[in-house]
Amino acid sequence: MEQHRRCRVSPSAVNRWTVRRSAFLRCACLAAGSLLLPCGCAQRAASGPLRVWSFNHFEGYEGMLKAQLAEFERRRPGFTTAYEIISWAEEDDKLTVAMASGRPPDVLWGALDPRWLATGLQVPIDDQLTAFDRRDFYDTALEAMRFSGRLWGFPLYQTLYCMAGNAHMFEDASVSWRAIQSEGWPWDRFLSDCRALKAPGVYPFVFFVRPTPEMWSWFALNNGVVDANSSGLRADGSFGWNRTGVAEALQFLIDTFRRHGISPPQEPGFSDENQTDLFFTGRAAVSARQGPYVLTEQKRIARAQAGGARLPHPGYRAFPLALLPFPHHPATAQRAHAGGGGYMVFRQKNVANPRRVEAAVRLAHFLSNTDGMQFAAHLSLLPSRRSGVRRFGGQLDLESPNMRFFQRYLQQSAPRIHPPLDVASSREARVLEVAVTPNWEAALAADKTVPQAMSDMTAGAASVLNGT
Amino acid sequence: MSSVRLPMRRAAIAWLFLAPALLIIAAFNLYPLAYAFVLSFQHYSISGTSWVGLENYRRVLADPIVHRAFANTLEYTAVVVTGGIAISLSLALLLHGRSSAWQTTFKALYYLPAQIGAVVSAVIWVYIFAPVDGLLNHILAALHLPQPLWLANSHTALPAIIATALIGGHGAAVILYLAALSGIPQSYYESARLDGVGAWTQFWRITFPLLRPTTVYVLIIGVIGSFQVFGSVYLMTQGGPQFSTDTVVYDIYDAFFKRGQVGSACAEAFLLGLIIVAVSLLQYRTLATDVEY
Repeated sequence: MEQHRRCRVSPSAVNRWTVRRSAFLRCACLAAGSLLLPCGCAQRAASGPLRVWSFNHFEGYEGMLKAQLAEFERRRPGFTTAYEIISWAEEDDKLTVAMASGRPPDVLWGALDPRWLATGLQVPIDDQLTAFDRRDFYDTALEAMRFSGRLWGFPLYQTLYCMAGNAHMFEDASVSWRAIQSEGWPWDRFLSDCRALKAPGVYPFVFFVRPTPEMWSWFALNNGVVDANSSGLRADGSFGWNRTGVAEALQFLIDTFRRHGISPPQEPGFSDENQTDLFFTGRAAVSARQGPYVLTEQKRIARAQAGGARLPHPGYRAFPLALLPFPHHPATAQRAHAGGGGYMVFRQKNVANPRRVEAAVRLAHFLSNTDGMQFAAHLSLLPSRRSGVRRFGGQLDLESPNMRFFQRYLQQSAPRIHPPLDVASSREARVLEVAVTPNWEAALAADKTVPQAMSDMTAGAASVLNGT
Repeated sequence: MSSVRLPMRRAAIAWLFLAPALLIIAAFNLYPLAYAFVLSFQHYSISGTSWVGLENYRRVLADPIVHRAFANTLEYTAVVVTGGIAISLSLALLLHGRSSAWQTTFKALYYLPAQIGAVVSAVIWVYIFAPVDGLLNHILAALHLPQPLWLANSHTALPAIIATALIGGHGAAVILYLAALSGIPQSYYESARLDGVGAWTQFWRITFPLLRPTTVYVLIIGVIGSFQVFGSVYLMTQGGPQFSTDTVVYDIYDAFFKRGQVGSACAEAFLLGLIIVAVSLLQYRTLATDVEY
């Protein structure tokens, strides 16, 4: 056998080169193939069905979306659609990869994100609103999709952040949640009410510290800091949290567990899930933060208790809820942080296909028509269209105390602050990560005093914003 | 014997069989690696890229958060690797000489955590360390002891993550050590006992030196794995609080996905790769030895 091999293969240099050249060519083919692979995917992305990405917002959402897409295909022959329900956990990573590769979905459900605007792939839709749309959409809903004066998506709902109270506990403690809804909740009254809400095994007030310091921003907003956004940045891109109102808000939150004992001593460790668990298992009277969507969650828990669905967490129980405003400094006006989201349109990088973009715009418009407002109704949110409110107002029970409070509180929203796009799309997240969050955590954990945390935060923000 | 060269047709068949694996390696390893290397010298954005030379490397090396991440990673590696070797060797010594049934049972038990995915394991630990309803704090409360905020305190978060690595995940090392222990001739111990040598001295003079190849292997694999710790950090603390659990791979992920600093993320990844290769070579050159028995 060995002899056979030897006689068949020449050891000459020429033949060795032939073998090496052959190997080289094969490797080159492989490399070329691997390079062409993404190009093929790109072609498919540019010519295949319109891709819609959304999230699993509520039970039955996927069926609703599917029916909407089927109806769109029926009305627009020649265009097919494909949807993908992505999980909240993978949201950021999946979108980052899609945007970085220049292959975003054609239509995306979500709130406005400056990072995606900065890609240049998001399609403005100012010119796509019909006269009916302009009359029908609420200004607050359109505002949530606006950046630098342009409209970047069709709004679907209006929402805000607030707190939620266990109405039973309030009534047991003779604290009127209806009065708080209508009159607001100044800090001093909030503290006295919380003292009244103290009961064995029950904490009056729980809030979350991780993963973001947003609680700080809601309390700062209600202490007169209205010209900076939740990352502490002003509209001109400067840092706006280096002031007393912000420090006072931080001290107020720290005092809730360290001085007044109305919050659990474990507060510095609380995540969003921790505080929600305490609230829905009946061990907290007030939970921050929540949103009006908590009313839908409450209905789901009630259905589960009645045997119609699975409990989201063992031990959760349904009880009457009261939506509540964030406490505000007695000397300043109560402010809400409103928001919203909807369907946004993206084009593919380096692919000129105006017909596809136009179809994607039509699809996003279709998904946010009056019928599409059932999305908001399912989540106990206000539809972005007046026609949606007329259609689904009964389902939303707009005359209930909670929904009336929601509509009133929405009117008290602070103006939205957008730093310039170059700051908002890159340095804002860094300011939050390097300057705000670590000092928020350090102050709550007593690793730093409030003045130390404020000083370090200001220095950190300056370092990021000045690029030093 | 002179080298054997395959005839062209046989070579073609060989290439054909190798092609799928080569294609996968080229597409998912070599191409991304080469592309990432190129990106480490570029400022990347969706609207275009530009060459910035060594700017990304300079920025990474000057970033105090990256310094913190490297320090945390070194601390994690030092404790987890040395502690892991001590624990797995101790467990192997305890099992060595026991009956086959005992060994099989305990090998399976020690190996079990390795079969539980890192994600599942981390989620379980999150529940154990939870501030209010956590198992650990329940026990401490029952014993009237203070209940720290394990994952929310900058002084306890990294030790807590290190503890999760030390408590589970020694199965493979225990099996390797058991195999190596059974390969040491008993005659060495018999001679030592005849000379009146105690158990402690036997361990340090016979067992430990003869386990050196296994220890070097466990050490190198452990260092490489620990330098790349990500899953537990991502799931348990996200690098916080106050960057106390920020590790290099988590920081790379953070730079890429959260901050959109693609070039810096690639530069940091190559620096980490360079360090891992250097440390592994150093360990191999200083500790590797040919042992025959």
